[in-house]
Amino acid sequence: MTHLSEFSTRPDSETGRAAGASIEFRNVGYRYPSGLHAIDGLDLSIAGGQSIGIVGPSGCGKSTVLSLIAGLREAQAGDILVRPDQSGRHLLSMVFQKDTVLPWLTVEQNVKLHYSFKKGSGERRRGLSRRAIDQRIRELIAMVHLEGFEKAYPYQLSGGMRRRVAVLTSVAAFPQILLLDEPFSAIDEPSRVAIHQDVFDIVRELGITTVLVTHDLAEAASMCDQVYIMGPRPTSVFSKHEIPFGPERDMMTLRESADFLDLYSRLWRDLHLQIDASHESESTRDDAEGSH
Amino acid sequence: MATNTFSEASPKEFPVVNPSATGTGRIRMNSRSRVVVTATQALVAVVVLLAWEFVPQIGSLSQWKLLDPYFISSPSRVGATLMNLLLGREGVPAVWGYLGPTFLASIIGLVIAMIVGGLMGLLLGSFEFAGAVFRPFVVALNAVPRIALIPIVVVLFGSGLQSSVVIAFMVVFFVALFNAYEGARTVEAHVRHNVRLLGASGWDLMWRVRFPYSLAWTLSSLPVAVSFAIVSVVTGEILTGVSGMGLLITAATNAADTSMTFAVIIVLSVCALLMLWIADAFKRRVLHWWIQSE
Ligand SMILES: Nc1ncnc2c1ncn2[C@@H]1O[C@H](COP(=O)(O)OP(=O)(O)OP(=O)(O)O)[C@@H](O)[C@H]1O
Ligand SMILES: [Mg+2]
Repeated sequence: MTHLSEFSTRPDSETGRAAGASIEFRNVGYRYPSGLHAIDGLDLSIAGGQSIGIVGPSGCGKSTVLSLIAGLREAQAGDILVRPDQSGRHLLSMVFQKDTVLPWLTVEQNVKLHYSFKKGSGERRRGLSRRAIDQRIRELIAMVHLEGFEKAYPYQLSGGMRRRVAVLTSVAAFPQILLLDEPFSAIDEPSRVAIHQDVFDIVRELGITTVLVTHDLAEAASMCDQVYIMGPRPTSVFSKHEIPFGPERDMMTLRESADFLDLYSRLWRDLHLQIDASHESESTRDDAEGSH
Repeated sequence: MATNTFSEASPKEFPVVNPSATGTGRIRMNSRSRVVVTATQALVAVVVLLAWEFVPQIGSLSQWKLLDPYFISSPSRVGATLMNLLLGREGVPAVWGYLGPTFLASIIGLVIAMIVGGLMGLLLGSFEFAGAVFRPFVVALNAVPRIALIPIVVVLFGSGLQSSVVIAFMVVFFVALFNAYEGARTVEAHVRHNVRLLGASGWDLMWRVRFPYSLAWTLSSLPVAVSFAIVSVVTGEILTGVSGMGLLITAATNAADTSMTFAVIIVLSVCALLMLWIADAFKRRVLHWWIQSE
């Protein structure tokens, strides 16, 4: 595990813990311009430095929730509050579900993309030397086993490697908030667990508030502090599960513990219910359309 | 996204070259089938040349105008004229004095038009408002028959190199503009959002993300642009009598010298191939990421 202490947020005076940016949704509703009702009455409360997982049936609106947090779309109903912390770090970056790696840049150039923009280099001046950042980024690249590929172009990488570059590009901005939309789905199981560990450690160390959308319940359970199971579209929270594994976790052994398996089966039960509910609502929607 | 301005209109109005369609410009084959293809191509060329040379000599076939060497010449005569033209002997002027202005005007017009048109296309493709405002003007200008403007150009710029450059520019400009515009607009929403969230300004987005795609599309239109440039410069020379390859064609036509016309055409074709070859080498260097990710 690498130490990224130079980046740590200022400790809260009482608790000594990093404050972190917080996110709150109050009764949020969103409709796409096409009229499709994606989100209805959604409440979320994510404390600074926490990691939450969002799981739900396909097409229920999880990616839409992330785009609302990122400010890429504007909700028509309710309030969304994003409170930055005091660190002055870059506010938010996101790993998109679709490929965002820029094909004409090398792995290293992609990962450092944030620092190549005026805004990013301004942040650099605020605290860190270029050297310190380069050092951190080298560590990150090594962490996800991309060393030796720094000068490679994306077309020379495998699908899983490209995915890791996309994750690193967002992490390397050392944001206050990190949004992850099924970031690890193209990565094989053993490397995936290793990357879970790495991302988890960085996120803890820096006090990054993280929202992880995934279809992998084990991933959500091992990386998050809370997991939300979402209902069918228009989506809202069906159930919220506290994950009791604390800030020090070993991903490899965690999965072998009875507690983990117990939690997994509880999560699965809820998800199963929502998948069934989403199939039902789909078929009634089809019926309604058919009767016209 | 709401405005889809040029993309609905341009394919019909102008040959937008989709670079992914041209790809590496070659069908990928193993080396054996490539040899077979090259051999077959050579065979086809030889057969056509032989037919051109010898079919008119069969019986009284040359009575027919289309097979009369007076009108269609023959490979051997064209070859002889070509040699005379290249060496400037037997009363034929050397081609170089004519090729120079044509080649120079084509290249200068092409390069300026690709840069200016490409940048305009990039701007219009990057700023939705600008794209929406200027689209009808651009489409209308592109519909103007450029040849009809040649007399005006000559009045404005005199009958010399400048006029030829302007004529090439007028034609190639729109090819570059439409392709750069389309290229700039191929950047998908999630890629744009990603770089914006990483701190890119609108300017960064244009130069760092849209520009490479615009460049790829614009360079992919080079084969079309090169031939447009040469054709428009030669047409201008024919119409205005500016010294150049067009003048040679006019002279050959007045003298009913079809061998000369063909020889001039061959020189021009080789010239175009040379320009394309340079353009392709440039593209391979700059756009390796594009070519490789096919
Ligand atoms: N740009 C858009 N315009 C209109 N409808 C959209 C748009 N993007 C998504 N939708 C619709 O909104 C709903 C929610 O989409 P979203 O991408 O948020 O689902 P998701 O939960 O992330 O699904 P998945 O797990 O498959 O990624 C879907 O029914 C989808 O068809
Ligand atoms: Mg999604």
